[in-house]
Amino acid sequence: MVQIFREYGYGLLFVAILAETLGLPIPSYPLVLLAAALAAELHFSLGGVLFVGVVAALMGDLTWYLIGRRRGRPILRTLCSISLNPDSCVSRTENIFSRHGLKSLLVTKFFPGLNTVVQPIAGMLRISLLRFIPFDLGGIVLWIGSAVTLGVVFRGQVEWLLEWLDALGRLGLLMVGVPFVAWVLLKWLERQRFYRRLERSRISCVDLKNLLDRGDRVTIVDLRSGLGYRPGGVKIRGSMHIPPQEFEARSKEIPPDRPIVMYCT
Amino acid sequence: MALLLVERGYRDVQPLQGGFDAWQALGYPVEPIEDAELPAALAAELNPAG
Repeated sequence: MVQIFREYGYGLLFVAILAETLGLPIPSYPLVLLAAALAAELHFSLGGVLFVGVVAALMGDLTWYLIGRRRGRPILRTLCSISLNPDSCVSRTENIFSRHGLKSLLVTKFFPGLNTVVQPIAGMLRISLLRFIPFDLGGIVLWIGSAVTLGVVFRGQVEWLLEWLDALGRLGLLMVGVPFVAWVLLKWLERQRFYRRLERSRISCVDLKNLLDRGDRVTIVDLRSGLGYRPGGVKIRGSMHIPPQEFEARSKEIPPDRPIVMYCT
Repeated sequence: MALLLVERGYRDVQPLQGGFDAWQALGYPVEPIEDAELPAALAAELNPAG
């Protein structure tokens, strides 16, 4: 195990962090911790580990930012299918991002559900790179820095643990492999639960129609743009139109005192 | 979009299941779009006389 690390070192770290940042379920945090703990034996420099990690994560985050900027909403669906982190699309993201906006980038890397979602959302909302990058970088440095720090502080324990696993031989591999597989399975189950929850959070056409027939006050927002919303076309009766590119500026037009239903094509 | 609203303090924001297509397929009330603009190039193509 350690041999592999020694040989491919920085490269492995880079790939792992980039992969996790792009959404794959790779636990790169423990790898960074390991690298820092074993820095002496592996001839790593802590600065090198930090640098490699930051560059990899930044590349990943910027990729998502650009994808969000180019593609918009459909990206969130793809994210769910790659990352096995279902919560990323709904509740926890809403809570943190809703309260802190860009500052949430400082902590999202610590929450498996959030680490790949805020970046494309920022791109989607066309938040300027000049504002995005400092916060994103801050979050990355905090995340990798903490792994490095923990690795250094608990160096002794990590070495002891590795020796112990080594001594157990194949059993040691099992003890590492089984939790990992269990973790992936858990994430997959979470994702199934999430999709069911997502379906429940939407409102069906029938229910909306009933609300309207009852006379309930509801604001309906038409989000379509481009050819979806064109002269000669139709929209839901009573809806207001705000295309995605104008959304940040015009969302204040939506009255806050009643339920809101939004739709695209 | 729903996230942005939640950021601004709105509660009770729901996406419509099935989107506009589902609403129209069910024959529910629609109204003509009055305030849309076509990009100039497309407009020229659709209205060759104008």
